[in-house]
Amino acid sequence: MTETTADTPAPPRKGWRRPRLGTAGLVLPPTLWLVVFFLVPVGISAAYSVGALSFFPGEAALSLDGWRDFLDGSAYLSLFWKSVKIALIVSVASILLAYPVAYYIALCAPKRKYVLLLLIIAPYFVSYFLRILAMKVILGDQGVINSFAYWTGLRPQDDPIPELLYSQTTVVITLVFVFVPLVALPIFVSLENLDRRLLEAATDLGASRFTAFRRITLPLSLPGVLAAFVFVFVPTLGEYFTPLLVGGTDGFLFGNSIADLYGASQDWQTGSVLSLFLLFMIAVLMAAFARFISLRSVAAN
Amino acid sequence: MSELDRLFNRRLSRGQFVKLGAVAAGTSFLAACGGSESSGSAAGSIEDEPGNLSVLEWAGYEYPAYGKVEGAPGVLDQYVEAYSKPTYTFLTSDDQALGKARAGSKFDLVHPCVSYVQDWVDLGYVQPFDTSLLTNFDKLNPSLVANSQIDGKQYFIPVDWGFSSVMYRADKVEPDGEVSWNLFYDDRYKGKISWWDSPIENFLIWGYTIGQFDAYDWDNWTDPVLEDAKKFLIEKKKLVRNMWSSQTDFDTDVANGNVWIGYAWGGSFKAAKDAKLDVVYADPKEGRLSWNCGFVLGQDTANYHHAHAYVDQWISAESAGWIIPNYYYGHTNTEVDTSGVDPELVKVFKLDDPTALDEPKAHIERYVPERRKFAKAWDEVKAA
Amino acid sequence: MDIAVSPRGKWALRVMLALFVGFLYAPLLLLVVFSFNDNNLPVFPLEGFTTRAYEQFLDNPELRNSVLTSSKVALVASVISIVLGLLAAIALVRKRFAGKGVVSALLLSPLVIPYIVFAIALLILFVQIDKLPGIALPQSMWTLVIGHVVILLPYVILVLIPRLERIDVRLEEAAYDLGTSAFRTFRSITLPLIWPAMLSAFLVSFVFSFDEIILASFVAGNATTFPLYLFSQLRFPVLLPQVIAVAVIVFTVSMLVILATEVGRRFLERKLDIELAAAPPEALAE
Repeated sequence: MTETTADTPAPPRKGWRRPRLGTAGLVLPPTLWLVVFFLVPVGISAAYSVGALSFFPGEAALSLDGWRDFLDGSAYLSLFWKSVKIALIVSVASILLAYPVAYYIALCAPKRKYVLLLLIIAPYFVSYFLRILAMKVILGDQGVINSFAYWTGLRPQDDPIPELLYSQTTVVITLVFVFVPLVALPIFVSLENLDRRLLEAATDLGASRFTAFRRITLPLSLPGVLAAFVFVFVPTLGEYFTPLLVGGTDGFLFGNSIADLYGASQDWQTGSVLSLFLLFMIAVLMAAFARFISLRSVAAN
Repeated sequence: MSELDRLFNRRLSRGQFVKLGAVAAGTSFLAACGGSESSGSAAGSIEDEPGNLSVLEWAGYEYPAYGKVEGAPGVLDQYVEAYSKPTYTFLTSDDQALGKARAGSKFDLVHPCVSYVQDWVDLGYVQPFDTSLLTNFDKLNPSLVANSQIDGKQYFIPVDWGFSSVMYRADKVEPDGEVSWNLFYDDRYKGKISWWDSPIENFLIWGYTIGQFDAYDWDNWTDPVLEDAKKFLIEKKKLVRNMWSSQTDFDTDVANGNVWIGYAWGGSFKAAKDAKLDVVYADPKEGRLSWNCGFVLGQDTANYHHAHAYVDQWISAESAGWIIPNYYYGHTNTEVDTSGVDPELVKVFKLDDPTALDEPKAHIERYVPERRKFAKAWDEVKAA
Repeated sequence: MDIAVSPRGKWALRVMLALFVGFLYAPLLLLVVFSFNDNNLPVFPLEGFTTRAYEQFLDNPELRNSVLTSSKVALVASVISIVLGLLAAIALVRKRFAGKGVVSALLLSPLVIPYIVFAIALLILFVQIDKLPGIALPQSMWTLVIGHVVILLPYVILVLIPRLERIDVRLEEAAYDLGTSAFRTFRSITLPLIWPAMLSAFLVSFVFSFDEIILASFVAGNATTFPLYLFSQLRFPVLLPQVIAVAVIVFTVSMLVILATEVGRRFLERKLDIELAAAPPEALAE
């Protein structure tokens, strides 16, 4: 092994002399895994949705009836819009709650920044199911909140707050509780990357703090906010477990319909139609956001 | 720009669409080649079998919950001690069980109800029992046994029977005149009602109450009638707090005071009584629904003899003696002694009345030829 | 003067932060309180203090089995994800190739798929494969591992890429110039710098997979993972205290793992970078 004689490394080169095989060897395994176990299943779903494959042997018949029935003002379509409404409420609420917190951590707490951030984010990775369970335990008619209300006399015994459990409200509260840690992260990142000199320049020129916020901080943090929105809106749109546990009949959402169609109803065709429709709408949303985000960051620079 | 920024600024949709299209086309052709299934065999002895019995069972019917006796061996202890504890997967309804089976889950034993046996046989999922291996078989109620044969073969071993009816809190609910299934649609109790998440029964209830016809006469269910039923149920769904899937979920809701009126089997009545609630297990004027459930044997089972041994324990007189006071269900073993049972119980559940399951007092479950029609309608009720 | 926020604003934000943390942790802290409460139902007023729920649950073989199953799944899935994620991260950061955009979109797309859709699609795949003649693919913990790798991969990649970017590519290049093989370069140069991030990604993946319930309820077959077991026990009101007790334990342990991981990672990386900056020639001359 020869020892290097230079003190500084050689200047970086543009293209590397790595053999092609190396790149393929790196890229192929993960890509193949995802193609086989992610894209192919989606493809098979698509086949089911048009009847190319059928759950019941011998009934495969290519047809667009499944799609036609769905799009033609079916109950499932309105359920989809109901889920969109809930997802929007959850997303907006989460962002409104998380933004001030992320702002504080990013811009006002230099020393304990990362510890605080970690404290906020960790619950998301630690337990999805347990946190829903916690909500179920707390919100029931004889759960923690209601029994606390009786105990302290805030509400008479046997007159619980019914909206607390098994309603759309419950689903919203629980989903905000579940997702708000995740939402804080992208907002924090975009705020942390903010160049404080811009704010200094603005205040030097006489702008108030609020104006500086409104015209500099807010627009520059928008990519983070949009990313946060996507991170909570998309999963919430397809939420299944939370409505199952705490939603009741009122909080029944699109994801629950999909699950039931594949389960008890054995209607894989309609289930696939719903699944693919959801994926399609998400893809449309992502396309719209991707364009919006890149234009925005160009404009901001 | 860092790699991360590059990643997030990409348009994520285009490439995926192209990929999806290609993959979908490709896999449709590939996957359309279906396959056939192998079948199990009855030869061999119990020692040759792996012994890891897997059962698709109702919640509460699993060992050790089922047959549990304080301070004494339970009903199923003998089997578990001789062999090993079975693994259980829980079903929430017969439809869901069928769905699971169709989706490829394999079980040695399933505990469906008699109106579904034809569906299981048609699926090719089950094989007949060898009744010579069941020592308690000849003690079972002959008419229920005969009812569960298909083409003369004993595909189904009937075990438990009972009622499905309206259960309500006497201290909270005042029925409007004679007790009726109508309580499920009573506007006064909005948010305190719970239906079972199962298509057939909900439509049957509508048929008997609002439709005013024999709901089990399938000729009555024309498309316009089904449409009416759907609309009505969608409207009344607003009164329903929660659709229950597992009986124990319902029991918890009742115990917590979340619901006052619900679709209940006898076991829920017992659970509510245990929770010291003042409940009534109603005898609605339209008649109760009744059911008879039991075991079917998996076609591919590797535990043929174990399965028979397990079922044999279930149909024993000991098992019958346990299920009556613990679930308020009946059992098909006719040698059970009901004299020690609480007479109040016997009255409520008509345990001494062999005609209790007959029309018009009760409507026993039967095969539904157009099951998918009802399932589809029910999905739309839930989605609306 | 703080240009970002006024002093009064700062206090308002601090209150907001406190409320936020409260909202986030209070329900879980309440669970802790009720796990020691001498009552089957988690209601006020509190009865006596007892550790009965914890004792009962520790003595439960089914619980232990489910923890074992979940651990096995999490371990295998995390290892596979780290390996695949490392390959992907290196390719994305260090290489140029056609279709990079599509590949990176594909690799990150599980982040934005609702898990129910993915779980069911995966179920359909396994059912379809099972139907092919001559192939039997029953659903089991291994099918769950496959699904978990898919959803863990984006997180692993997102943790590894920033770290890889920060490693000076010239270090690796220099090693190449000296004739070191690609693998040796990785082992001597990249790996020592990236292992804290890999460990961190592994632990986060492990915890995430351990607690995952949606995929588990659809593609695990008869295998019972820990969250599935808890879910099945919810049916018994009398067992609710035990369920809560265990939930508390799992949550606490996981939180500690994540916190320790992240703090440890930052510390280690800072140390490695300082060492590297202080003595580059020695690092290269292996």
